[in-house]
Formats: sequence, structure tokens, C-alpha cells
Amino acid sequence: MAANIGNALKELLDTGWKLDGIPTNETEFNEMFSIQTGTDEIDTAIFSNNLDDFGITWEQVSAKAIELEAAKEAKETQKETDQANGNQKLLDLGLTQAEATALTGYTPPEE
Amino acid sequence: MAVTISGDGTITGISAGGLPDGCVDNDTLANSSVTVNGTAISLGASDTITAGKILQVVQVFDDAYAQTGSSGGTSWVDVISGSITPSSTSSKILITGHITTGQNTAYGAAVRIVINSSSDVGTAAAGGLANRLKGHSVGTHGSNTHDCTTYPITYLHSPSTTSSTSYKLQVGARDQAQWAKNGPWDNNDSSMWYRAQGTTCLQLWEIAG
Repeated sequence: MAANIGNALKELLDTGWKLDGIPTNETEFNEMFSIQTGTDEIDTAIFSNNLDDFGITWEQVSAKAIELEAAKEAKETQKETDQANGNQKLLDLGLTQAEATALTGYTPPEE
Repeated sequence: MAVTISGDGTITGISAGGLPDGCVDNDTLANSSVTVNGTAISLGASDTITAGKILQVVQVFDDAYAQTGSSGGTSWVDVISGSITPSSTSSKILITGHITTGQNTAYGAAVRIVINSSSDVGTAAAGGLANRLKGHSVGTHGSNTHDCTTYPITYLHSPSTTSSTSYKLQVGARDQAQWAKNGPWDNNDSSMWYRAQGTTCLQLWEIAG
């Protein structure tokens, strides 16, 4: 969940930003977050911690983080299902589990 | 030349080497002068040993985790800074330290040194390519977002001033890549994942010129 705050900001923003810590609520987010408002003459990023400059809210960020986490879990679940189904098809063809594992590297979880 | 002992407490007429070896001990020397102790020489208030001596050291340390998203390839982000006031215009400032970052992609990152927030030192111009990141030190750790890299900084600067001088280390990430400070991008440690984290540090050594 924590890493997805950064991933959520990546998905939601097309400008620079900075997060000094890992926020878990709106108050922490508003304290830790800064948005890039420009660069100086030597290309150093200029950040603002002013809420009026954010263009994004904790509600949006946390919702996107939950969405990304759910998508990640669904992807991992689907991968496990595909592995088990593929393994079963190999067994149905007459291979032993040792032969199937040798081919795919997949070992079924112990019952 | 005759040796003369005056009534005012002075002795004159002693030639160089005229005293037996070892007859002048530390107690004979006046306060705030040189004290010899084995191989060490302790200086009094009239300090005169110059070139190569370390006059002062400033250290800034940071182990706080942070994440940053870049807006472009030529945008640099402040990571750590420190100031030092040289005691002489001839002094050198030895900049040492390191930065730890974890990228969100396989792309690398560069570190540059900035003096007084106005110019970078130790790096050449961008070679005519406006979007090229020209850093003092660079690092990458491949495509694994569960790891991070620590890269060192060393540079000898001649500020030629006795005014307070600031030094900053900045990170620039390639192609709008995201990166984390002092740890990997993916930082949600669990009972299964014990990811290595790091630190960022800056030392400023004033060396007599």
C-alpha cells in the first residue's frame, strides 16, 4: 500500500512532485507533498507546499493507490490461476508432476 | 663572543648550538607557544602551521525516506545541503559524501554539486545537448524497484572567500523517471521482504591553503 502512494502520484500527475515521507492520511499528505511549479536558471526544481498549487487531493491519491493495489493483486491472482490451470493440462496429457515441473518450473502448492 | 649575564634577567652571547642537547624542555617554553610531546606538536594561540591542515569540518546527515517524480530530464532536485564559512580566502573545501536513491525504472540518476544555489561545480556543460544530464556522479541498479544504489561524491573546491558558502547535492533522473531517496522505490516491507535502505550524507572539510 505504501509504495502505491508514489505510484498513484505517478499515474495522476504529469509534472514534478516530491513526497517527504510516506503519508497515511490527509494531514500527513498535505504536510509531506510538494508540487513542482518551475525551475530556476540552473534547472533546479522549484517546489510549492501550498495547497492551492497542488491540483490534487489526498482523496484522489488514496483512491488511485487502492485501485492500483487491487489491480496488482488481481494480476497476481490471475497468474497463480494460469499456472495451476496450465499445470493441470500438462498432467491431463499424461505427464507426471516431475516432468511438468521440469518443463515449466511450476510446483503446485502443498495441499 | 663572551657570554654576558645581565642584572635585568637576560643572557646574551650564546651561539647557535651552544646549549647542550635536550636542555630546553616544555616547561622552559612560554605559555601559548609550541609544546613538543613525543611526535606531536601542540600549537598555542600563535597558530602558524598552514598548508594541508584541516581547520574545520561540517557534516549533514539524512536518513529520511522520500519519493520524487520528475517533470523532465533537465530538472534537478535538492537532496541535501550544508554551509561552511572559510577562515581564509586561500582555504580549500573538500566536499565528500554520498547519496542513496532507488529508481522506479531501470533508468539511472545523476548527482551534481551546486554552490550557493547559483552554479554547479565539478561538472562540465551539457555538451550542447539541452536535455542531457551532466552529473558529478551517476548510478543505476537495474530494473528491480526493490533495491537502491549509493553513489559517492568527492570534489575539492576553492571558494576564494571568507563568506558563508553553501553546497548542495542534487539528483536528476532520466526521462521523467520517479525515484526515492534513501531507499528503494517499492518500500512496503513485509515479513517476506527485507529491503536494504541507505542514507545520504555531506561533509565539508576546510583545508588550509
